[in-house]
Amino acid sequence: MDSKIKVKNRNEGVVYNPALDRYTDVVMFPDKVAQAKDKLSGRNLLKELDEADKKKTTEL
Amino acid sequence: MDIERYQIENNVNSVYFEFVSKGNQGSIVKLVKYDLLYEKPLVFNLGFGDKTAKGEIDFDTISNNGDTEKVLATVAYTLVDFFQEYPNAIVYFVGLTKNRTRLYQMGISKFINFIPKEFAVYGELDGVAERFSKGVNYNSLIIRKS
Repeated sequence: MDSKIKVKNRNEGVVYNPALDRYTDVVMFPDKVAQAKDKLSGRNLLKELDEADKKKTTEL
Repeated sequence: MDIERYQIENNVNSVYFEFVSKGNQGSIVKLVKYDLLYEKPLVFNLGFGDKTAKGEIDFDTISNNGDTEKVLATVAYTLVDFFQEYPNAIVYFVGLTKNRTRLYQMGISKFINFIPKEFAVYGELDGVAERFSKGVNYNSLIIRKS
């Protein structure tokens, strides 16, 4: 666990709190999860994103 | 380039984050949760809301705490920590209400320059993803490492 904490501290402003581990497997937003699964059902998301990358329309 | 954000606490595998918004309505505990949607490909839903004093989740309100930009910057920063744990993941998120989705859009539009270039941001229109463009009102947002 010590090594895990060291890794966590790499990001400035982010602190590992073991008390939050109890939420790891809790679905906090079941409605949104269901909504997202419905929207993504039957889609090849990786292929969509790869094809979108080819167009490169993002403004950065 | 630095941007002001709140101190964040996370869980052991960086799928759950909490921070405290401090503004004109007082202190509000905010939580960010990456819920697993699919394992192949690895897709997580990004949920974001308030934690009430009773420990319940209030995800369909806008706090109006006067710190929207700082809150959104903090939420955006959880991506850095999350993707260190799951570098091959895809993050999907959409607000439950159109207003909330537009709030995310405005936030992403505003902070996209602060999101590390290692992230690719996509918008979703009519069930099809495209690279994010400012000024377009997308239904959902998708993020992955480039």
